[in-house]
Amino acid sequence: MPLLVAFDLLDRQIVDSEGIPVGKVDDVELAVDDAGRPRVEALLTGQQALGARFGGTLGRWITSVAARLDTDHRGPRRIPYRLVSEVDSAVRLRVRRELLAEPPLEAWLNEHLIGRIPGAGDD
Amino acid sequence: MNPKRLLAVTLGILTAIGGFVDIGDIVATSESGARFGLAHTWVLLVGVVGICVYAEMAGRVAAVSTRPVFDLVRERLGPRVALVNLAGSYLITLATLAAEIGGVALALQLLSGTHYLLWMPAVAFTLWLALWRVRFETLERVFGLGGLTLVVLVVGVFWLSPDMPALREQALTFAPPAGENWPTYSFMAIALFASAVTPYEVFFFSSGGVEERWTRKDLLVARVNVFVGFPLGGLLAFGFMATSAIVFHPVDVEVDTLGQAVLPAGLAFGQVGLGLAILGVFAATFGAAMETGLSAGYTVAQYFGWSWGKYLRPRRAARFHTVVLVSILLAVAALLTTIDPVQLTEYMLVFSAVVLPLTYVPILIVANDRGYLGDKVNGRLANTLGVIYLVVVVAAAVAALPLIVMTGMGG
Amino acid sequence: MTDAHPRRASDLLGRTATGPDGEPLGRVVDLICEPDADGVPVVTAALVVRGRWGRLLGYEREQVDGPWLVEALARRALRHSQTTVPWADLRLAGPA
Repeated sequence: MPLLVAFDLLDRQIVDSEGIPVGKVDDVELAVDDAGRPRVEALLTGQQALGARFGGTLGRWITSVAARLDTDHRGPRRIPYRLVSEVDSAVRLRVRRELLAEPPLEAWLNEHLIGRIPGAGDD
Repeated sequence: MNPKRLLAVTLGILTAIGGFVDIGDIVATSESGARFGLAHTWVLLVGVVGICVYAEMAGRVAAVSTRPVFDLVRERLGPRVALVNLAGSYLITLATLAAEIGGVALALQLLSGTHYLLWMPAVAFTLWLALWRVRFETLERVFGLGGLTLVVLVVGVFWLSPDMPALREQALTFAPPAGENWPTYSFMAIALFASAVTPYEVFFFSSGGVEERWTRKDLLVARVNVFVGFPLGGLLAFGFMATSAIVFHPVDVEVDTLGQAVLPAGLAFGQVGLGLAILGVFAATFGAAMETGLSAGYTVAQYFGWSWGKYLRPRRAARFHTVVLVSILLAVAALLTTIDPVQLTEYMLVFSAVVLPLTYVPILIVANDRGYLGDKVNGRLANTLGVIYLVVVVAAAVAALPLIVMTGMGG
Repeated sequence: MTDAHPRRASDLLGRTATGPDGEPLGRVVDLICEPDADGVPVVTAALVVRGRWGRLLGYEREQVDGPWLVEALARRALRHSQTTVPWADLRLAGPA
């Protein structure tokens, strides 16, 4: 069954090997092979990628807020396609979330807000 | 029968409480009973069937694919249209959250005499604490079952020895009684229907199913939740409508306060009855506050793809918990303006018009997608009812705006 | 195809597509991929739709099947205007 980039990938939920949400497929990175055909190289996730896709004033605002939180200037989170194990109702990865880069907003909130409230870490 | 299995329906009951006997509904159904007698009974029935149809689909999708409803909204409608839904849904949910926190405070005011605004910060803090630390299942059980105390009003309907044939005639009249006009009757009907099928119910129910780690094997559990929970919710709402119809309608008294809404329980059973009713209101509104507080977090997190849920430690779902915290703070801020929280939810009805179709269309489509559900796709009954209700929802949406103008918000 | 190397799918989707002779075919709404030898999806064709509807709600796949009213409306919007253009034959016009 052929894969449809917009339908099967874009705006689908990415989940890790345990089923925990990782992010949405906000965009897809393509690389062009020698025959001139694009191939799916990586999934891009995060508000920076979403804002870029939106375009317009709203998109630029989303991207700039997200970029400011991205203190290491890494750009949108990139998940190489080889980490994908299957695509059905969600895009399922072979690995656990912990092995991927932590989302900038999540890291910032853990440091400045949530992490400081008692009871945040234990079950 | 294993008692634990009986408790498995508490998710459905808690969801239904938010849709049928939250503070807005308690006042609205009582008001309807006082002004129109039982002439809106059919609206409750239509609402119960409608939410059952869509909650069953949403629950099925959650069990078979583990995807909650807002994932479907973004996936099928695209990020731009889904953002419109998110904005509208979030505003409705936030306004309702404020109303519920106010409602819990009002119940405490009835019990203690202390003004509700003084109770309000404590209520908000307790709510946040419960959502931060208490297990989802525990919250479900305590407040789902606690809200069932409202059954005292249903029993009260019979205890008050009403004129049954007269009540039956009222219930079977699909028209406003003498002294009321069609626009107000229709506005009230739409308001009651819209609150029975509010999107945060399906957002909460499907997310709750994922929180409970439903799988294909839990399809029966999901269905029992729907078909026990929502009819029970409708029955409790009917309790308010009927007791007000019996007590207030014959003497032409209007109901617009919580105190009046619970009065019939006192008339039927004395202090004990009144106490039980207020306790039931406390549990139901606190449960609805939890439902809307969590839904606010679920919808935002699910739109952006963030990790969410009480099944994760807060550190692992920081963005989700931040949204919940911020939403509670915004709700408190709204209440501090001393705006009437129940009135606020009526104004939000306007947004329902846009949000309802944008929520239910994706559910209906995905419920037919074999890639998602395999052989568990909709049968003909589910599809027929689904389409009928989609039409009803759109019709209600179209009619809502002019009616709001014509009746001045049902005045 | 004659275009600068695309970097993201959003650069391709929504672009106006023309056939080999330059006749306008509509807009690209999806990219059809087949797995190559390593299992990596490679774009082999583009789904082009004439008209305003970009998002198709899922009805372009056979797996979504009903309810008949919604599907009938969706298909009516799509039926005559959906074409599959092999990647080699595709020309893309300016930005989306």
